[in-house]
This record gives sequence, C-alpha cells and structure tokens, in this order.
Amino acid sequence: MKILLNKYFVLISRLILSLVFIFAGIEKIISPELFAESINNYRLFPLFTINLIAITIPWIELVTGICLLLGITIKDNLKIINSLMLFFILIVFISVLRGLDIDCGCYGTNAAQKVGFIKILENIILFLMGLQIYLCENHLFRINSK
Amino acid sequence: MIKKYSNIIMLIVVPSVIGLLYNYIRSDSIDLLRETKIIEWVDDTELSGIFENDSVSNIKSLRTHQVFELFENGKAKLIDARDEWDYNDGHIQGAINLPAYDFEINNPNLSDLDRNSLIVIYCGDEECDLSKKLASGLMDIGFKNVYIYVGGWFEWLESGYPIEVSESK
Repeated sequence: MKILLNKYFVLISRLILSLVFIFAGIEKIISPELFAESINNYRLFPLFTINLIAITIPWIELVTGICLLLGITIKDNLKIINSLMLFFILIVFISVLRGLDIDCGCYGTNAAQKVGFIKILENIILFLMGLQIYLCENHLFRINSK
Repeated sequence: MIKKYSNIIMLIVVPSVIGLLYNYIRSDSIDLLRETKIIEWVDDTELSGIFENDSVSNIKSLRTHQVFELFENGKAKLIDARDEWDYNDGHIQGAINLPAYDFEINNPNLSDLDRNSLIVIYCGDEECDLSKKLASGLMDIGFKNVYIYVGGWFEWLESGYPIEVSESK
C-alpha cells in the first residue's frame, strides 16, 4: 500500500492524469458543435442544456488539468477531477446498459472512441490515479497541495 | 464556510466564464440554448422552378421523392457531405463527395461545379448537421441554388433507390 503512495509514483500519475485532461479539454474546445452532438447522443440531458455543457466542461477540464500539472491546490482540484471521472464512468455505464453504440466524446473529433466496457475501464483507471494522488500527503513540485 | 469551498468554486466558475466568453467571440460559436432545428420544406409545385434559395438563415430541404425526381431527370448535382470513408462505403448514385469538415476552396470536386447549378446536399440522416454546414459554406462562396436533403443516405437507402459504392483503392 505504501508503494502506491510513493511520491514518484504519484508524480507519474499526476503527469498522466493532468495531460489527459488538458488534451481532452483542448480537443473539445476546438470543436464545440461536435462535442455538443456527442453529448446529445447520450440522450441524458435536456436539449437546451447541451450547449451550455459543451461550452463549460472542456474549459473546466483544461484549467483543472493545468492546475494539476503545476501542482496548484491539488486536493481541491482532484475533488473536481475525480467527480468528473465518476460522472463519466456513470454515463458511459448507463449508455452501455441501454445498448447505445455511440462515440464517447472524450477527446473531441479525431479518436472515434466508442462507448463500451473498455472505455469504462479506462475511466476507472484514471479515477484510481486521481484517488491515489488525492491520498498522497507529500507531493513533489507543488504550489499548494490543499 | 465559503472559504473552505472557495477553491472548488473558482475552479468551476472561472473556466466556465472563460468558456462562455470565448464562445461569444469565436467565429464558430454555438448557441447558448440548443434548439431543435426547424426544417423548411420545398413544395412540390415549386420543384420545377427552383431558382431562388439564397437565404442562408434557413436552407430549404427537399423530400425523398423530390430528390428522386431530380435524380431521374438529371437536373440536380448531388453532393455527399460526409467524410470519405462513409462516402466510399456507399452513396447515392452519381453523387460527389465534399466532406463538410474538410471544406477547401481548391478541392477539385468543387472547382468542377458550376455555381449556378442546382445543388442538393445530403449526409447520413435527419440528425446529421453536415449537409446544412456544407450548404452554408457553398452559399458563402457564391452558389445560388443550394438545397439540402435531410432524409439523407438513410432514407434513400430505405427507399431502395440507386446507390453505388466506391472501388477500394
């Protein structure tokens, strides 16, 4: 258990998780209409809310990703990041149950990633990384770990 | 208590505001409140004399039987707005491919087109936006008679009308 919280290991997780969020955020910011359509495909949200989600979530991903990378308010940041990951896991899971064959909308246009168990697994791994970083008390290269 | 949550609030509110501001100033912005699209149909009686669709705000759509009529008498140029892979997998017979998201002025298919010809653009089905997007793009560069076919590939296929598949390269 102690090895999981080893600060170098945690740093690697932090790097990966933050870069994933930064990349995902940027890709969605580039093509908002496409992202909005991906959200729409889930058929989970009222139509009028979809564009608002498509406009705000990518920037939240980008900013939290950057803050995580720089080590700014790590713990509070992770509350958001981990909540987002749980949310993504949930909606993908619901879509799998409903048998929807849709693009997950995770990284914008290019990588056409389908909703499925593999996607859920990827998200669980990212969530666990987030959890690992959260539980670590002694971070390297941080500005404020609170 | 607010102080305890201030970081979290900032991390949500600040990016959201940035997102809204950026959306406001960018050229490819999206509406804040998404609405279902209203389709304006072309009447059958107008079909023989279609010349005047130059309002970019609401591009008129044709129904399947009308597109078939134009297909049979060869009066319209059919354009598939989907990406090349979808196009190659199957398209309306005689349609050319102009992917909506890869729209470039020096596309050879584009330069072959007469700007006064009757253009009918389609994509996958009713939900897909590519046809409208391409239609706007074409009208911006001077095409006058542009219509969309919202039924698209899906309805054409269902109706059993002529299709073709590209030869694999």
